[in-house]
Amino acid sequence: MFGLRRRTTLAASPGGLASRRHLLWPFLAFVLLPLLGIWLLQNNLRSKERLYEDQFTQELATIYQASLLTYDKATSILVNEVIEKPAVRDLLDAASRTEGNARTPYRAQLYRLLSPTYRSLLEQGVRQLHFQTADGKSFLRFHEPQQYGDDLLQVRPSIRLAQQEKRMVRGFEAGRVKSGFRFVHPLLDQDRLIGTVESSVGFRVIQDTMTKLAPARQYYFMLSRQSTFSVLHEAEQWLYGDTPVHPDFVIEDPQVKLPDSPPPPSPAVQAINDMLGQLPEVQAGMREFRQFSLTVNLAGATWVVSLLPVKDVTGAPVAYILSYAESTFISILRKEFWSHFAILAIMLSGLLLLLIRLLASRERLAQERRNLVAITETMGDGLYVLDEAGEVVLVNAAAQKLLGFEREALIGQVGHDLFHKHSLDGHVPLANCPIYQSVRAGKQFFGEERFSRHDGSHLLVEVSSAPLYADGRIAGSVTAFRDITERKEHEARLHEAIQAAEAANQAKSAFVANMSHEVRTPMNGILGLTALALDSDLDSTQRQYLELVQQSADALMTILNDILDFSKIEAGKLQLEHTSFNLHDMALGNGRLLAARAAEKGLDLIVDLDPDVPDALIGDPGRLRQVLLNLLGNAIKFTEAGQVILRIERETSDTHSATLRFSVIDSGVGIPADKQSTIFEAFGQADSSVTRRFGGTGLGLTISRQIVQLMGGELAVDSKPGRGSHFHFTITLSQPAPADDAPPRADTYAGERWLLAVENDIQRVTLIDTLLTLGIEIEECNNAHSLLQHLKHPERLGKEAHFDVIVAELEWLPVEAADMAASRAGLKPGAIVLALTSMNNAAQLGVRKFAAREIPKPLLAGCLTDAVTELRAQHRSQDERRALPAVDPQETPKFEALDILLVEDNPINQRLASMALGKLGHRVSVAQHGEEALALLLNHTPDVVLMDIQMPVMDGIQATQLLRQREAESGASPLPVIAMTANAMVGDREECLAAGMNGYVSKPIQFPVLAAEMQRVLHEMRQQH
Amino acid sequence: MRKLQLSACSLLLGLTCLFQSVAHAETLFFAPLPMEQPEEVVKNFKPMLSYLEKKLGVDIEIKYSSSYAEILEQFRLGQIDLAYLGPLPYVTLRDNYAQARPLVHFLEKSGEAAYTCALVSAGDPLPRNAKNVRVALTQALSTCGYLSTDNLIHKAGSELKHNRYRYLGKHDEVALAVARGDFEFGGLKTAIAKKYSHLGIRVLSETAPLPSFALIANTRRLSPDTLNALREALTTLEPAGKDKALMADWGSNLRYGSVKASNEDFDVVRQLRRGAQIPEKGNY
Repeated sequence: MFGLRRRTTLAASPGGLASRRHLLWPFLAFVLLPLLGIWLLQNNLRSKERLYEDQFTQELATIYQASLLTYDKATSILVNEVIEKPAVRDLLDAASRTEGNARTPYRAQLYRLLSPTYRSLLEQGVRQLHFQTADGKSFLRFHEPQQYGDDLLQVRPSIRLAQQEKRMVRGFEAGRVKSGFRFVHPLLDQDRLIGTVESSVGFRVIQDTMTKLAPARQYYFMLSRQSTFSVLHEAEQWLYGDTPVHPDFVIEDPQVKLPDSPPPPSPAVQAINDMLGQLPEVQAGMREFRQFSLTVNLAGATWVVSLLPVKDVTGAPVAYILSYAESTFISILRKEFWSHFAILAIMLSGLLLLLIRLLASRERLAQERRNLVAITETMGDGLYVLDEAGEVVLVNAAAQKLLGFEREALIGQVGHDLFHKHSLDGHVPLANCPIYQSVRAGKQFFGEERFSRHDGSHLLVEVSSAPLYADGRIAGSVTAFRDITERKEHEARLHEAIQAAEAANQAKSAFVANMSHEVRTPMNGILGLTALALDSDLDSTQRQYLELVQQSADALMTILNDILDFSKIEAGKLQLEHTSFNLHDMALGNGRLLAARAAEKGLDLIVDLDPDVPDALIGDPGRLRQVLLNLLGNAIKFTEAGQVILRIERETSDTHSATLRFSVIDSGVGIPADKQSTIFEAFGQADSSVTRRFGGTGLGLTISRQIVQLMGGELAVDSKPGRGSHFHFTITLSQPAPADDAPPRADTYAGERWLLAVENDIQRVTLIDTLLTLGIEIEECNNAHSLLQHLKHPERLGKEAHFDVIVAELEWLPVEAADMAASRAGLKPGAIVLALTSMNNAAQLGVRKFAAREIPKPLLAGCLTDAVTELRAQHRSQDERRALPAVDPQETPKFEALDILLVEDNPINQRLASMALGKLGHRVSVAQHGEEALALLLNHTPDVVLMDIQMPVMDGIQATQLLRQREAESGASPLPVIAMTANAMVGDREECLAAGMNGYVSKPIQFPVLAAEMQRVLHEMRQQH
Repeated sequence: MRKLQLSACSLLLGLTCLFQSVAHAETLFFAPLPMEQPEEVVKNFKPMLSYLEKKLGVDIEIKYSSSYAEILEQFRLGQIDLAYLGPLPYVTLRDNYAQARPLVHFLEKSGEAAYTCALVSAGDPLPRNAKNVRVALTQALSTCGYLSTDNLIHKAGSELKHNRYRYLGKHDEVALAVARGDFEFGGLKTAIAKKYSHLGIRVLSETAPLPSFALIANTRRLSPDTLNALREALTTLEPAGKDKALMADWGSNLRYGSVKASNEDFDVVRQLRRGAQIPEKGNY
């Protein structure tokens, strides 16, 4: 852990000079290493070359000796077999005993005797055969018979040695006539010298023999100028010439005038000789008669030249034999040298590159370290580094300031003991220190600790500590900390404030909930009783007053509901349901709910659903209805003439979901561009005068937009003043899995002819679009006259004008009996006539006779097909046409007379509910609270129980739970229980259902809603059982 | 730049002069008679030729040939400028090639411009009316060859054609052949025969003096000035006087000086040859 063991301070170091000093040695090394490598390689090459050259030298010496031995043996055989004969010995002995001309007869005899021998020797390349008498004088030279009698003892050491030492002498020797390789044999009679005989061969003979032994070599022979010329007859000197190799040497017969002279050297050898003459080492070596070899390059080839000194019989060097051999091995060695050199260069380059990168990396590290020092010294947080023993090895200025210690007091000390071990935590030892334990375990530590200052005070710090690794093991830790005393105080204040705010919020929520409950209960009474009062016999003034009371109460309830919703949204407590619902019914219901209001203003309210918009969907139908009602209500409210359209289109869909675009389009006053962004803000209606004029809280659009956002969409508006407004949003709703056993639709209208006489073009086109998809042939008309023409005079149209179904505006249909009869001309037998009615339009009796059924507007194509299907079924069963009574748009769905138990503590509500339900034909019994209800139910089983929630003695939740428990124990069928509560806050409905109730209506009770809920619950329960 | 140009011009000029001098160094081709071993022949003539080269400023190259007939043929063909010929080869050459002109006679050791041929043996005398003895001869065109030897045997009552003879080429070869006992007798120049007395060679008889060996010039190839210069260079030498040292290592047939020669000097040989039929090959 070298990095942490050093006691490091964060003082800046003069890194520049030091790093330059550190760079010096590596760069020196990289300058010297290549030189050393080259020197070693060169030495290695030279060493191998020398070994190889020495080998060549040794081989040359061996070849030379072998050549001499060849002739040594030949001459020994000659002497033994030819010379050492009595006849020869006697002649030489006799001659040695005489002098001068007295020797002539012996010489003549010897010449005659051995001439055949000499002739054969010549053929073998032996140049000379020479006899000497015992006095050392030439007796007979076979090679030069005219030369004789000269004293040889002084000039011919070989002869002198052979005669004096009476031994065979062999070797090179310069001669009076010629130089040669001598073989001198003494001829002895016992120990007495008779004479000597010498045979000699020239260099050519030796060269030929050497060439036979080593054919790859060429040879060259040089004589020492001094040694040769000191013996040679002056007359013979003409035969010798200079050699380019060395000025102290001569060669014999350079012009090759004599037949036994060696052939001239090859051009290559001549060229090499010229080179040798220029080489100082050759000149010096030859002057010293050294034996050596060297390598020369000639025309791209490598030659090894070996120089072998030739010694005469006395051991004195007197000549040189040179051999020349072209060597591929040296070339290989040199190639090897260059390849090694290349490898060395590459390796060293690589190393240099690595070193440069290493140095660069080191410099970067140093720079980073300097940066780190600068950062740590300037950072506001305290920082220290501990080694594995927990001792401080590095600490920054902020840490010193925060802790109140000097750097020297910290470095080398166990940090924990110095500023983390204090009375506040019971003097925890280092081993139990949470920071130390965490870091020792290889984990990072984040937390809040309390450090002690040098003066004994404490500070609360936020600590972040991480282990430091070296060689794969934990070698210490680095810890940063900051004083969080102020922050903690601030947090505490904030916490208190939040708690206070939350408490206030809770109080507000409770207040809103309570207010909701408290206001709704009396409002329920006001609305219910007003309705009851209006149903009684009143004079016109009383009725007018009471209607005003009812309108005011409705407005108050609307405001109350908006405030409640807004409160929920603001509190983020508005949650969406996910239940199955039928979109077509819901859309149509919305339309019909507001149809009366639209009709009052003379507006057409059109529900336009694309044929491919799915019906069964999963979502929150209540909230979706709320949004659509709000938009439609606004549209009707702000439109004085024309129409309001609710349009639903499918954008995309798959088997699991459908993305739908909802639009509400009106032809109203429109919204200026600069006001469009504010209409969605709470209490931000475009024109406050409008609010004043039309009423409302101004919260509706805000709530709608929030609901759409919760559904994943965005409510937007496109509008121009005077051109109407177009509110729209797009949401994706889930689709339930299609029921496999759904029966196929049996109805088919393909091929039928329908006449659509609808005034509103959009409504007409909408209906036609859907009906055409069913294969129905449509004839359309847009006024009463056209309708009557179709009905009365179908022949004038020139078509097959008899219709299966007539759909017509109610007021366009014939009223009089005569007209009716005439109008049936355009109908097929059994044709069905459907009358479209507006909410404020009561049908005349005649019309009711002519039309089979009245369909209220707005409507969908499905309303028409359903009515046709139903009427045809009735026709089939009763075989008679019967006009159905007109449907009161305000009518309450009809029920069979039910036995209802009303559990309600409020007497007004008891009376209101009893009277309203009683008017519908139901029997109502009342219990004051849950306990009383349970007691009553022991002996009486009503059809349905309407259960209030907040009641004295026993509330509705508990009573329902006990009822369900009792039913479960007795095995009785569950009794339908519908909650009826003023608790309109979110969660109320879930709580009621969880308690075992089957339905839910909120107060104030709207009896059509209550009737629908009772019908739904009873229907579901009957289906279950 | 100007200096460089001058230097280049100087160098070019120098080289041109050098080539001119080399080109003008005339080479004369000299043919010696192959009377002895080649190295002996070369050794004998080289010093004299060196002297002439130096004196005349020419190069002289030896064209050695072992055949007298070949030398004469090369002379006629103009391939040889100078030749060292004996009397018989000269007259034979002159018969067919008039441009051959004797320049000088080389003096014998005796100081005479004449020499003799000898009949030699290894000790035995020539019997009267000798028959079928083996005789070694030099060459057919050699003065001391068939012509002189037949004349000397004739004096002993016989003729060569009654004996067995063979041409050996060189004079010393004849002496050595006789010394070896390959032949009983031999014919060769007396001066050469005496050099082999240490091998037992004895001169049995000698011819009358004959014009000594001469330096023959090819006048077709050599200018009169060269001829004169050559003759002057040789005849002015004083072998016993100032030029003794110079001529010390000249061949023994050259070192004793020379005298001017003329075609007429060889008439005696022409007379000796008259009527003689010299066979070109030996008879065994």
